[in-house]
Amino acid sequence: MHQDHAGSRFGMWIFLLSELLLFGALFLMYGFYASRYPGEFSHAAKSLSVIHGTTNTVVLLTSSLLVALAVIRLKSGAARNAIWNLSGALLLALTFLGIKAVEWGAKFHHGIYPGAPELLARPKGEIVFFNLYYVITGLHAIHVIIGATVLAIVALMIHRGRVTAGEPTTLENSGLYWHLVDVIWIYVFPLFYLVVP
Amino acid sequence: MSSDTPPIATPNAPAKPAAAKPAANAAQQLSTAIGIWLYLLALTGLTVLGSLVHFGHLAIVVCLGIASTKACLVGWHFMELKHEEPLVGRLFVGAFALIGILLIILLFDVWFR
Repeated sequence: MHQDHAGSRFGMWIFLLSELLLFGALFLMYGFYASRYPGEFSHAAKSLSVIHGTTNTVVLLTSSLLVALAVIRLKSGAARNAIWNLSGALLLALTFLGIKAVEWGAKFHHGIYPGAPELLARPKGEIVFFNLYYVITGLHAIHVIIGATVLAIVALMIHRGRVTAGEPTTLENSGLYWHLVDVIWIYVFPLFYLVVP
Repeated sequence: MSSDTPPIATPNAPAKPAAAKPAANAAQQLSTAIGIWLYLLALTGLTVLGSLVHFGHLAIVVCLGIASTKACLVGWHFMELKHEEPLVGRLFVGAFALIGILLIILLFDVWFR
């Protein structure tokens, strides 16, 4: 079957750019409200765990490395090693989601979630901060779940010989998606956990 | 025959170097990827340490500057933008520039309205 690898890759890039603009719009919204309620954003941001955020950043960066290594190894003919790399990336994706679940769980336990009476009693800027926090990190977590599922399917395809050194486009495109998930988190991390306006 | 005489090429002779080249290339790519990962971790550490310093209004610029450097490293090396058509790179930079310009316009509107 004929496959247009260049076209497939270019199409993937166009899709990734649309994803970038989707998150870009949310970051603009964050910028607007952060400059409108600087004190309240600062107070709310201090309640997030920098340790959790930093750990998740290291976890995602490492998973991105493993996906990049998987592409290099598949292209050099080391399919088994590529599968191991992808398995490692999957494990790290689950770790990321686990840490995120712990973080969200702690916030829920303290009554800080959209619509909660505890949150609604706080100043308006803090309500906006936490609503944006849940929307952006929630949307990002959905992307992590989709990316991890795609990587698992590609690992299976490599195992079955359907993605090979001669036909690596499926892995390359899946890898691009995973790296984009990483790039988005690279911006989410300092905006929510570190920058105290 | 002089020892400087180049070896006579035979059909089988290039087989070994040709097979070794992709492996050597892959090894080099692997070490580059690991090097980039170490840079990314160092920049993450720098972001966390930088947040402890009171930069005032510049904090957002410092944080976004480091984040953009990290995003460029991931895009250029891990996403292999360096091997893509120039058009893809321009689109990628254009998308970032669009978000940046909109952010600047938005902040000016909020600050000076």
